[in-house]
Amino acid sequence: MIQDYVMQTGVNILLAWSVYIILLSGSLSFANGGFMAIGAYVSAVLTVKFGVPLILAAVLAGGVAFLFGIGVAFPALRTRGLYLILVTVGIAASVRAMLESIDYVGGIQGFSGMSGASPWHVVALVVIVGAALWLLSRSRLQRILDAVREDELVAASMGINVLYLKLACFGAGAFIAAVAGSFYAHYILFVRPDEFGILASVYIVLYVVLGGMNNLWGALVGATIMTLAPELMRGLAQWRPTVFGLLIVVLLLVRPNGLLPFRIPTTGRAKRRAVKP
Amino acid sequence: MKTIRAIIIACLAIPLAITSAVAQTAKPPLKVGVLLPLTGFQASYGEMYKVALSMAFEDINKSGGINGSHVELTVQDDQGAPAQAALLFRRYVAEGVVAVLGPISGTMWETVAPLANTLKTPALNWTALKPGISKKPYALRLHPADDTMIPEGVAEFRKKLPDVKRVVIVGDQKEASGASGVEEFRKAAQAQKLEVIELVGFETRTSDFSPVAIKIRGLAPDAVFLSAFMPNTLALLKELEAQNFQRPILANALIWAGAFPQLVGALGKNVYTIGFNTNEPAPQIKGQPEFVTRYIKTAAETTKMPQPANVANTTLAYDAVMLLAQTLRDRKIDGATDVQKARDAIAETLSSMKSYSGFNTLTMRESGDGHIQSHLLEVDVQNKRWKYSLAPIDRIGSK
Repeated sequence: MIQDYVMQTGVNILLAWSVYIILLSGSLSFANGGFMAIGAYVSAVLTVKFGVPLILAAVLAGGVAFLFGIGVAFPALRTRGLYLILVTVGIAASVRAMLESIDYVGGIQGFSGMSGASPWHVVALVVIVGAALWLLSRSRLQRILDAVREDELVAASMGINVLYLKLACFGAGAFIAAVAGSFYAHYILFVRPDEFGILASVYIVLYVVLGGMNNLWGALVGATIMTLAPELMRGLAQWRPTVFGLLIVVLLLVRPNGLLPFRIPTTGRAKRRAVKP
Repeated sequence: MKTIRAIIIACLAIPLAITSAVAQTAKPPLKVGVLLPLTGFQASYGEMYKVALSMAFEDINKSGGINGSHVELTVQDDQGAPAQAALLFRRYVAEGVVAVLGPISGTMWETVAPLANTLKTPALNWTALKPGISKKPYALRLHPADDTMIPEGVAEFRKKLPDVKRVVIVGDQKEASGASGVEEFRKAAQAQKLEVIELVGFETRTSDFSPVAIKIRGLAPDAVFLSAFMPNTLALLKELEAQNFQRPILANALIWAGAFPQLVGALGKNVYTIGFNTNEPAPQIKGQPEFVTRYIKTAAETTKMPQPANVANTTLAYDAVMLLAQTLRDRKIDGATDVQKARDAIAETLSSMKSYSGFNTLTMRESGDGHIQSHLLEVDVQNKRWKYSLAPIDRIGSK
């Protein structure tokens, strides 16, 4: 039972981080449910139909999603703000529609036969991605991303390749969402396209918004609360969805910038170095 | 002398009886898990099956439990979501249930069936329609799938309405059960040498059915075969009525269970479905009239279901519990039996079972699905219930 919670929470943390990474460059993506679907299906086909080991299949599926993410982000990133959000919604809807139309992966009937994922795969991935994000948050790259997020024109005028950075973030987010989707599919054992609809993407963004968009811990806390709170509320029976919805509303009213809104300082060490004689 | 002997026997017998009773009640309970949608869009279905399952477990415990163990029933809300069903199934396994009843819909059953085999825990389903999704030996479905129900229903439909030659098949093409129903209707129409003019699809979240209704009317079929859930069916019927389309409509069993006959009103006058039970008393089946009366009464007292509650396949939910109870008794399983051994024994017995007779007489197919002879039903608009469309003598497969 604990393993299930670990698995679900771990997958959702990874998905939240996949959105957070894209947010680092100032873009908000509602396409990550679609990237998760690509990971789930590609890895499932690789393991079930071609006998590829799970870890390798997950990495390859992540690679496919990375290329797909960059491929769609290249034209999508020509838009900004609300328009970009709508484009990413369209990407998620297109992925679902595409999977529904491909008979090779079962179409709307879904795809089964996968197995082998354990919560420890996800825990290991959470540790790796978390460590990478933590190192990033202490690095010079974080300051470059901050610059891009705050003002793209100024960042570009300083010689930063904004498009390259945004594409890299989009691709990295797609990669992480896809690997999480791979492990999810191999744990749940059966996937259908409608599991990865728009609502899934909205939930992933909500994890980050609720937890806080300015640091990696916010996404982690948001995903954990959003995953475990409904389970802890099972005793409320039919009132559970209502109370859960109200909880989200209250949290957003009380903490509009998320539960952990702080930014991790990245300039301290540089300053210290700068003031040394 | 006789009195003294009687007193001595009584003195010996009473403590023995008490000891035996204590020993019986001291056995740990047998845990059985149930997965039902109690919230979400399928909640009304969860409610109707919960009544039947509770009746069955109440009957078992009233008669002394199973092999001296009380049966402990836990019902969890899967919200009609496959991921939740999988999560809760794993939770039941961890909690040491001997078997899980449910989940109910084809989509969720398809998710849980492989899991049941991976975790070696028996799961029994009594509702799902999509063919080919059960997995022996641990995941068995007692309900007949659409690949037997639809051919049997279409055959009786032809018998009832022999003038029907050309049909349009309409269905929810974006939902697994709806789409598989469309495919089975296509095969059945072909087998009955009916001309299929066209397949007309729509999506689950369609709210405006006027384009679908216009298309159907334009194709001028003799009848419509429909595979869709109740809300879509009701919306389509309303639109067809508005466009004065008066041809018969045969829907698969997706509308048989639930509140369709109470909600459809006069729109249901040309509607047929396929099922194996109605609220009509069937005196030839032992206990069925009493079950129907009791079910309707219990549902009225304990739920907000539209009245009179539609019994439909709730008889099979009751049968599922009784079949499990019989298996536990036969394999001498009680609360003290090692849980995994109990699970393996249940799966072994159920997967090798050929037939079962309760309120329904079912035979098991190699696929792990049950077969119950299905019949054509129509709406009894006045009494708000389903009724058999053909007289017993005319029904296919009736003895």
